Formats: sequence, C-alpha cells, structure tokens
Amino acid sequence: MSKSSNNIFWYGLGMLVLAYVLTRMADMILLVAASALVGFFPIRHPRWWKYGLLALVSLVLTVFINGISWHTVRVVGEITKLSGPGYVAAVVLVDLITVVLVSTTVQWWVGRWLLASWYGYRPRR
Amino acid sequence: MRSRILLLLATVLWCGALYRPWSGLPPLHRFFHWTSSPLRIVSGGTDRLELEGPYAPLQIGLDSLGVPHVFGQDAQAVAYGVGWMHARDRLFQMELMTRVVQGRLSEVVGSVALESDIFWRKFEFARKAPVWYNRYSVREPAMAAELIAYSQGVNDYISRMGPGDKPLEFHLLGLEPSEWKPENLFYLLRYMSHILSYNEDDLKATEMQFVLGEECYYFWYPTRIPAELRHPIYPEFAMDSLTYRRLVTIPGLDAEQRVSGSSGVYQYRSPAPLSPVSMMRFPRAKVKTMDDFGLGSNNWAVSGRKTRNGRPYLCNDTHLMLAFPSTWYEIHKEVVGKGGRQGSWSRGFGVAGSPFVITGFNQRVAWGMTNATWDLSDFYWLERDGRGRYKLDGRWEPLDSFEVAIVVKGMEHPVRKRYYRTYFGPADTASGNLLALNWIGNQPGNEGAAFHYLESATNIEQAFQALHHFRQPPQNIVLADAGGNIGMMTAGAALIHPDPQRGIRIGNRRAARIPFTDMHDLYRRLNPTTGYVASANQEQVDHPLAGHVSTRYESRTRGLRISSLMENHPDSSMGFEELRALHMDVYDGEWEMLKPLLQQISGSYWTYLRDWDGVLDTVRVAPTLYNSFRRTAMEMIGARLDSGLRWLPVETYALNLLVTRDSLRLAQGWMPKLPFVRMVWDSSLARLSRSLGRDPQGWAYGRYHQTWVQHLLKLDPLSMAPFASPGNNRTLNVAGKLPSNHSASMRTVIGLGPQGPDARLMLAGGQSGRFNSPHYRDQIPHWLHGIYHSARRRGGFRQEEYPQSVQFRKKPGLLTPGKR
Repeated sequence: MSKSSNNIFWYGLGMLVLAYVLTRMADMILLVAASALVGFFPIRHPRWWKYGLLALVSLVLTVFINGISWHTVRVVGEITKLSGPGYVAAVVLVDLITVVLVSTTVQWWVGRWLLASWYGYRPRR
Repeated sequence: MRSRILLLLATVLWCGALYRPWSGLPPLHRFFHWTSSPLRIVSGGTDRLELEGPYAPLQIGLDSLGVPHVFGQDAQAVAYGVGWMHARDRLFQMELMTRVVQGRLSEVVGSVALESDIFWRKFEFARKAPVWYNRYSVREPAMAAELIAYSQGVNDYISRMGPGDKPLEFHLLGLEPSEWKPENLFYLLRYMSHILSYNEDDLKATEMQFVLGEECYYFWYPTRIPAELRHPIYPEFAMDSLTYRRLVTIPGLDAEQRVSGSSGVYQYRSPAPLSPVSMMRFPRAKVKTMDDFGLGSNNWAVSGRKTRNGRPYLCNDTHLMLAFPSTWYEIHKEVVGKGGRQGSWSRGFGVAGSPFVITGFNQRVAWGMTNATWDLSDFYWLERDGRGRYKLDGRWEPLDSFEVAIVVKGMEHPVRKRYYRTYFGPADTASGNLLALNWIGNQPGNEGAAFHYLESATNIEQAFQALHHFRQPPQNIVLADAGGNIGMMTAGAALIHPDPQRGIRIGNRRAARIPFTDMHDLYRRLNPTTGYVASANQEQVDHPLAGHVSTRYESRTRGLRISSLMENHPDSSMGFEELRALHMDVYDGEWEMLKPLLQQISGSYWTYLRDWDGVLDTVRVAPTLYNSFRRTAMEMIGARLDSGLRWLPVETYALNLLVTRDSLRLAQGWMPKLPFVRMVWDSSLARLSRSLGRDPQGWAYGRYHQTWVQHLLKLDPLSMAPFASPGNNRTLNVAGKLPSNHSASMRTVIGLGPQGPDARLMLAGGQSGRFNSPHYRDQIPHWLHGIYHSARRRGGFRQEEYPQSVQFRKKPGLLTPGKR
C-alpha cells in the first residue's frame, strides 16, 4: 500500500534545512551534505529546477536573516575582480549549482528508489 | 543510465573543483559561499559583549576611535585583555609578522616570498625563540607571566571566532590563524630589528669600490661626512683618547682585512641574488636607496622652563611604512587598585604581538624613540676547502651545515636550502662565495623587559635603568618625568669597527669577528642647559667614535631644524600648538644650501624660486621644481656611478658636492660640475613636463608629491589612492618617496606634571586591521591635518563612557591562572 507524500511539508523542510545551513555553517561541505539530505526528501515529481528554486528562496531568506554589508560585497568583489554585483551573482550561482547538482544526483541515484519503495511511485524513465 | 552517470560525474567534478586549490589561490569554496565566504565578515563584534574568561574580572572599553582601555585586577589580567584586543583587531598582521621571521611566508603566499624565507631561515629563529624565552622567563618571571596571559588572550579570541570573525586576509590566503605562543614576542622584536637595523651595505661597498676605483669611490662614499654637515645629538660628548682607543681596538686584531675586487655577490647590473627580504619594504634587495635617506623619526623633550605651563613635554613621531593596518596600536592599560587604592597604568603605542607600550607614558614618566641608524650587519667571506671545512686561525674547521625544506604554495616539492653555522654567524652561499653574517638580530636580547620596566618607572632614573635591558634595534630614547627632568639615552648594542670602512671582511681569524658592545651609558644626556633634548636619526656625537659605529647616519637637516625652532622659542613660550607645529613642519633646510646653485641654472624658472621660503606646501610650484631637481640629481649621480647597485651616496653629502665642487669625479672620469648640473635641471624639467603637463603654472606640489597607504598584501581595494601631501624626505613632517608611503606613523605630545599627564596622540591609519571596521582608516584625515586626540587616564571602567565594551566575568569554578 502506498502512502502519500506531503510535498508542501518536504519543500518547507528543505527550505529550512538549506536556509539554516546557509546562515550558520562554517564550511561549504555542510551545504553539500544538506543538499544531499534534500535529495533524499520524498518530493513528488522532483526536477533539478525545483531544487534550484528551493535554494534560491533559501538564499533570499538568509539575506534577511544575516544581512550583507554592501561595503563588504564591493571590496571582496574588487579583490576577486568580479565587482560587487558580479561577486554576489557568482556566489549565488555557485551555491545554486552546488545544491542543484548534489540534490539531483542524490535523488536520481538513491532518492527515487526510496520514493518508489516508500510511496510506491514509479520512477520516471 | 548515461544521464545518471553524466550527472554523477558532473557533481563529483564540481565538488572537486570547489575544493581543489588553484594555482596561487585557495580552494574556491572559501570565496563562493554565502556564509562562510568573506561575505559574512563582521567588523569587530557587538557593542556590548560579556564573556567568561580566566583572568576575570576584566573590563575593556573601546572609545570613539576604537582605542581599547583595559582594566584588570593585575598586570596579567590586563595583558590578557590586550592580547584579546590585538587578536580581534590585528590577527592577520600578527600572523604575517610571525611567518616572516619564521621563514614560513611562502607556505601561504607562494614563491613571491621565497627570497624572504631563504633569508630568514638561516637564523633558525623558530629554534632559538623558545630557548630565549625560557632563559628570560627565569630572569624576568613577572614579564613572562604577562606574556603567558597575553598569549592566552590571543588564543582565546581565536578559539571563540565564528565564521564571520575570521579576517578577510585569512580567507584570501586560505589560512587558519596559528596558535600564539609567548616566545612569539622574539619574532616581533627580530622583525622590528630587521626593518631598523639590517642592511647589505658591506656587499655594496665591496662591489662599488671594484667598479669605481678608489678615487671615485671615496669622492662619493666617505667614511664620515664633513664637520660642517654634522649636528650631533649629544653635543657635549667628550671621551679621553685612552677610552676611545680601548673601544676601537680588538685584542689580537692588528688590521682588518677586506675582500678586494669583485666578490660577484652582486652581478652589478642585475638585482641582488642574495637579496633577502621583507617583501613589505623592498621587492628585491634590502639596501638603502635615495628614498630611504631622510626617513627616520623625530623625538624631543623640552623642560618646563621653555613651556608656558611649566610642564616638561615629550614628543615623538616614528617614521615607518604607512600601511593598513598601521604598525602601531594604541592602548591604555590600567591595573585597578584594590580597596580604593590607585593602581598602575600606562598608555601609548604598542605593536600587535606584544603586551607592552613601546612609546608612551604613565602617571610620571614619558618615553619616545628614534632609530640610532648604526651599522649592525657585517659580512664575512670564508675560505673553503671544498671538503666541508673553512679556514680559521690557520686551521681547517668543520662547517656545521643544516638543510631546510621551504614549503612554497603552488609548488609540488619544497625548496631545499643548505646553510652553515660558523664562528661569524649563519652563512650562506652567494655566487660561489661562502658569506657569514654577523647581524644584531641574531643576538639574544630581552627588549620586552625594557618596556615592562618602563611602564612602571616613576622617575627618569628608573627609566634609564629600564633601558639597560634594551639591546636591539638600538634607539635614541628620549625621556621626561613629572619631576621636571628631561633626558636621552641611546640604548642598544653596537658593532664598533676598528676601521670605519665598509666592505666584506675576510673571516679567517677569530679576532676578526667584531663583538657587540652595549652602549647604554656612553651616550646619555640629562637636563641640558639648552632646555631640550632631541634626535632625528643623525650622528650621536661629533667624535671619531661615531664613524666606527656607522658610516651612513641620516642627514643633520631634521635635527638642525628641531634645534633651530627650539632655540627660536624663548623661555616660557611653548605649548601644545608650538609642539604640534614642529610635527607638522615642512621646511627643508637644504633649500638654503642649494639656492645659489639653482639661481645659477634655473633661468626663467627662477621667478618661481626666488621668493620661495623652503616650505614644501602642496599649492606652490617652487617645491615641485626644487624637489624634482634633488631627486633627478641623485638619480643621475647614481646612473653615473652604476645605478645597477642601487646604492646611492648619502644625499646631503652628494648634493653638497654639487654646490661646493667645481668638478665631479664620475665613473668615467672627472667632469666639470656646471654642465652636469644643467643636464640634471633640464632632465628634471622634461620629466615634469611629461608627468604634469607643459605649463609650469600647473606644477603645484600637491600634483607632484602624493602619499598613499597600502594594505599589507598590496591589495588596491583595501588601500587608499594617492592624495596630495606636503613635505619631503628632509622635512620634520617626512614624506619622501613618490608616491610617499613612508612617513610619521604616529605622533605623541605628552606633558607631565604633578597633577598627572596631559597627552595628545594620533595614529596614521586606524586601530583596526579589519577592512570593514569604522576604525580601519578613520585617523588618516587627523594625520594629514594634524588633529590629535586627548589621551588621559580613565581611573576605572564606566561602561557608559564607551560606545563598545567587552567584559569578562569569572567562569564558576575556574581559578585565575598562576593563583592555583
């Protein structure tokens, strides 16, 4: 007998996990781990862009939680030769790609089988 | 299936790329992450911080300039607080300085620092520092206790750092802060000693004599400048001939032997192959260039007789490289007395890495320093037999060799380098030569004790006694006390050379090694009848002994200017404004010397120069014409003497030759003076036309002469763009180079009296090394316009007086270290 998955719950939980990690963690390896965890979540009809949206919302949330100094962004942007907005865009892009790649990979390799066995969903071909 | 494999592969590659270090860069994940990247960096913490700490109760109040006022129950508690604050504000500076002296800079910045590491590793300071610390901690347990507490303060800050607390530079270099140890103080002292006392003039002198021949060499490089160009710090100095002979004689050494001809250590049109050193100051060789002459420091003390309020005043401004963060860190340390008793306190400027006030004051005594500019590095050429031995006193002695592996970031294998321990000091090979170096930095010395005792001195005699602990780098230290005394002592150890010639010595006899002589009571002055004491890095004494100690003192120009201004002020006429005016003075006394010459050659430009008063302000054209001529003259003299060596003659002496001689001895032979000087003038004008435009009306000095302040890693976004600044390398308010980055790094004006000190201070830069702190560069406008802040004793911690504070309370069950 298959159970039904509450997509809203899993999206919400995924967003909280990512936002928490993005706000507080000391090393990026935790983002990789958190993305892998999200890949295990039984989200129905998972797509790579859904993980991307999840990450984007989490990033926006962290700006509200953390705040970012424009002066810091500008200086670090100049040092990395990316300018302030360029640097912010690069950071967002790197975090997005990380979440999308890791979550989707985990979902494709492991998550979908869990989904199938727990909820009886048929993996997409 | 193929898509899944491709996706897995892409993920693995992506994560690998983020975590892999790229050439010259740390792993990219450190930069491109929302929170652990530099984006999260905070400027220095919350306004009110309460923590548990081992030396509690301890309170630190930070004033509107970010200056910490540290209040503790005893000296150790205060030292803990100073360590905590240094770590908060200057952690990267401390890490960098330690790595430089340990010879471990390449590990983090790559091959750019390899020369520096190769230089430092031969001294084995990483091995010696703990030994020295253990030795001096037995002799000076109170000082050692402060160092231990200080280190714990630094380390406690490091261990409490969150992701946003790590300074930007650590992110950029992919570095974690190292544990701080009490012996690190010795690294700091050697670092300062290197900046102020190391040179390779011996190597240069040997090569210049070879290239130029004796006649030309001694024309430009005399062992002593003429009497009319001297203005000694200790004018009353006298010494009987017996004492003089004893000082300059080394038993068993009848005559010094030097390398004649080329040693090849400098292939004299290329940068020095041996050239070590601090990437902070010189990219290649550590030799004096024209930009270094005239750069030093000023200090003076005036007796109460000369001041309006009857207080003695002491002033100091140390000329160092301007950088972010500043060399100096202002601190106020106060031991809060128990039971209502008044505790001890001190205030002034120290250096991150040391818990002590290095130039400053307490309730009754003030002190300040300038560099003694002595020759403290001798090179010895050693004869080898090719079988690991060198000749000493007619016998072959084994060379004690050791190899180091220098890890270089971006290089697969460490660079291996072999050095030798010899009787003359650490030795290194250069162009096939084995050269040993006898440098004062390699000597033990416990300067920390000097500052430890200065902080608690209650009168000038106690301060003189404290200075007996001071050996390096030798300093002219000016003192004043609340009892109305003023004095000066040149403290430190000197190499008194039997023969005041420069050049590489031949190290074939034990007697050839010149010993270091402690000079403490030799140069000393107390309450002179003139009513003031002053120094500006010039010769200490007008006596032949001075020539045995150094051949290249700074010019007398600044010293003479201080004296003339002091003597122009009658008794009871000086106050803060007059003393401040000395700090900000931009009159170049050499203008009077060069004026007749410029009148002869400047043609229509004389209209600009005729009525000029020698003051190098930013708005007039005359300072530009004058300063450009001086610089061009020195550069063209250098070019005619083989500028490849970058070892210019003493500037004042060389310019004086242009004025007084009819012909000049250049490398190619004698040349009439006037054609050469005209060539210099024309070249100077052509250069100004190119850089400032053809119309001389637009050659205001502020366009020509600018100052910039760079970050330690020379990162433009963390530096300040050049801005117009007055002065040159001969003015009291020094700003020599173009653009200038070497100037007064701080200024102090301290009045003393029975009612307590009245002090005003200023720092070039700011207190914090954190780029996003409001105190990163907030004192630059103050520095430029001569705005001082009042520095008074607080007498106890009252939180409402400070916009920020850090308070440590005792952790339940935790005993104060040292009181178990």
